[in-house]
Amino acid sequence: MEITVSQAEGNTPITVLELHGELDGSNYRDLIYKAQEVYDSGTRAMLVDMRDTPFISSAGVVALHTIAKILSGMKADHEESGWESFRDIDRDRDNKQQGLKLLGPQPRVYNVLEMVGFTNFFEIFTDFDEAIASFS
Amino acid sequence: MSENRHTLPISAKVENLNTIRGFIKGHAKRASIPQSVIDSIVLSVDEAATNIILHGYEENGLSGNIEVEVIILGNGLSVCLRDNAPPYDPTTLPEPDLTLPLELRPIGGLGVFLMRKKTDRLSYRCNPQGQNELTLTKYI
Repeated sequence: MEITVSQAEGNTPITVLELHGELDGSNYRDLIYKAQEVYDSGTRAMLVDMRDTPFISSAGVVALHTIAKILSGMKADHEESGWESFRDIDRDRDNKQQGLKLLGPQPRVYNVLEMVGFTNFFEIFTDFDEAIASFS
Repeated sequence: MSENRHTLPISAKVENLNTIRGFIKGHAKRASIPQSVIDSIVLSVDEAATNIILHGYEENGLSGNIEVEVIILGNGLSVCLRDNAPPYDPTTLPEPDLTLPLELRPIGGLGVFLMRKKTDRLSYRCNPQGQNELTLTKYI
């Protein structure tokens, strides 16, 4: 999987992480490290573009959860056993996570996100401009 | 070997997950298994194989192989995974408490959760060779 990083200007500066390829146990740490790197360089809003991601496993789910934790100011544990729950993560009144949003998951990927409850946890967009405009 | 059984012995490394998924997809497609069934079994096997590689081998400082066997059935398919890591039976783990609100649900165990949800049958045995043998079945 290749990760492309770009910047978008909405109401706030947003970093877009485009994932090209399947997100699984072989590369989920790469995504976490990349997100930590852009967080350390000052990013506080991230859009993960999943339009070119044909597959996600629970390892990918863990990566997204960890990025949400990073954006909440928590140092990410890079080992699975350290992740406890969703309760530490900042959310707005609609109960959605605000720093990290998702773009265009394919049906197969959306299905996994739905099964683990992430469709209630992250805002998910199909349109890039709409996604960018949603960051406050 | 029967034409309905296909075996891939492969080194237990996360870099090989993609090859394992491709092996299953290829044989399932050739057998005209519906895409939704293929998607389910591929995800389940990926989760099971990831657990074997990370928790069975790597966490114990071991290396080894996984044997992946695809068995085309009249009404679906099974995938059997055999490994030489310490005995581990994922079918005995407690069910996650899905009545808990999301924010109180532990994130660990997601892989086993998905594996169970996406298969119709999951069985484990320590086979006569002393290997872990996990069989995942999805019906059409």
